[in-house]
Amino acid sequence: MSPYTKHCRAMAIAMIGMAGSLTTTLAQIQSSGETLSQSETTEVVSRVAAQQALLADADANFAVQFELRTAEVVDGTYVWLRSDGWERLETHFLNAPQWARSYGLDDEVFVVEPERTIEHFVRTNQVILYSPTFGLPTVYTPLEILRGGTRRDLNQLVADGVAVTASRLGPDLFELRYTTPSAPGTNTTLEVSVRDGAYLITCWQCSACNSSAAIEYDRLPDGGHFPSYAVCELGPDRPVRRLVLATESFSYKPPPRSRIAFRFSTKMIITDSRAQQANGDAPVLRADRSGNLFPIHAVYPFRSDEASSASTLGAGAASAGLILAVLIGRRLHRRKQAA
Amino acid sequence: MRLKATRFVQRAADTAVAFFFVFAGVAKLITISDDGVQHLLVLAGVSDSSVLITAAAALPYLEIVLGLWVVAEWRPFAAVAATSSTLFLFTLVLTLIGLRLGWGVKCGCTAGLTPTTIGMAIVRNVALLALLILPRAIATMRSDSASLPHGVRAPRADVIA
Repeated sequence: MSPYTKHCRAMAIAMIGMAGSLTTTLAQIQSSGETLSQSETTEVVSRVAAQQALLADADANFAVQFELRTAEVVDGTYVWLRSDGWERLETHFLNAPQWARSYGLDDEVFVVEPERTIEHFVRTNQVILYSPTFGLPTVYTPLEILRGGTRRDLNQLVADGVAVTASRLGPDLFELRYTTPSAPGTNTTLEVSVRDGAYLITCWQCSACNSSAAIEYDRLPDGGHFPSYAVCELGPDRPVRRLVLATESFSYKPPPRSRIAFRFSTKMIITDSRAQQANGDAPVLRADRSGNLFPIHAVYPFRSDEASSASTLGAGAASAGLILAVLIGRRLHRRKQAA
Repeated sequence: MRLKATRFVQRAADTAVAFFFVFAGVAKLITISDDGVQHLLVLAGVSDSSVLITAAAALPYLEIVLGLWVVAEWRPFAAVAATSSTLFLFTLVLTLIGLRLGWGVKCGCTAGLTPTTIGMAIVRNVALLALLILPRAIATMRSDSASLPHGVRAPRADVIA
């Protein structure tokens, strides 16, 4: 058997082994970041949409109508409207950003005009407010938007300038992490209602926990300063909880190689909409509709088409240069060896 | 002569694969864009932000290193194995996403500089895998037959046994 045959055989075995391990790893990654599956999400959305149809005083031809209200929109805020046959009723949105076009979302993602208050009615099944923080889309259903809440299975919520990530720790245990960019002395109010499960809330720099007696409060060893955090645990046997967090100072470190800025305001409301659906009556938590429900304050460096083509050329030239350098180096090395 | 030609084809194929890898990595670095990678991983079901950030930061460098490694021909077997495995992983992730969202969704590969859908990206990856493996397989077969004297056929396995 020639060395090449041996290599090929070994390579095939290695590839099969690596494929197996990669599949396993991927499955583990997927299970660790447990989110609702596509079918589950669809089911939830359709159930919510059905409820919404009863609630909305909307056109009977459309099951869903909701109000998307943003205020003090800064340049670069964008909104992703995903739907089955949606109708665009206003023109307060600019063209889709480059990244959206690259994903084929030209007619779904829009940059919101700067410094403009928008009261926008659109018929759709789903709204995704796309946060550029970690590139995680945040999904809102119309019902949740009307009521100012958010599903608990959200990957990330950016509401009133507060970024929240939610992940499932167990069947009825969720972890919500929220970050508040620097706003010394500003209070963040977090209201959570728990009916069907326990919540574990971890917060950065929870310097004050003005809460009802039922809330268990604990601090991690470092005293709750970033990057350590305090833990406030709420149980299912305590129906309504209120937690006030004060951020005295906060050092916000953006993700690597991103240019993101958040503004800060004071209201954040999280509703457990699954419990809401299960109960089928009044929302678990009623949002303050007078406030700014869903502004995203983010500055994102959108690329223009010209910049994209320049980048393509630059990337191509740089790649060719690198490869050429390696090829020349290889040839020189061989000549040296031969000599 | 034919062996030489096969070897030339193999090197050309390696260079093409290497160019794609290096281009994808450099494009991500140039455009300062993590969102493409992160977006894909989110679509694949990954929600851990630390995984997303790490993957997005490391991927461009990994792609560049793999591409240059392939053309450098230093430990070529390991280079091809690593590159093929990475391509296989990419294809697996893209397939998972395609099954969930459809094949027409833009994949955001090469930091969105090339408008590639998930379906196209899978076909492209399979082609790249073929470019890596097929020339080697052909070269192997030819080197096996070339190692025998002219006119002598390889003995059948059962005869050897």
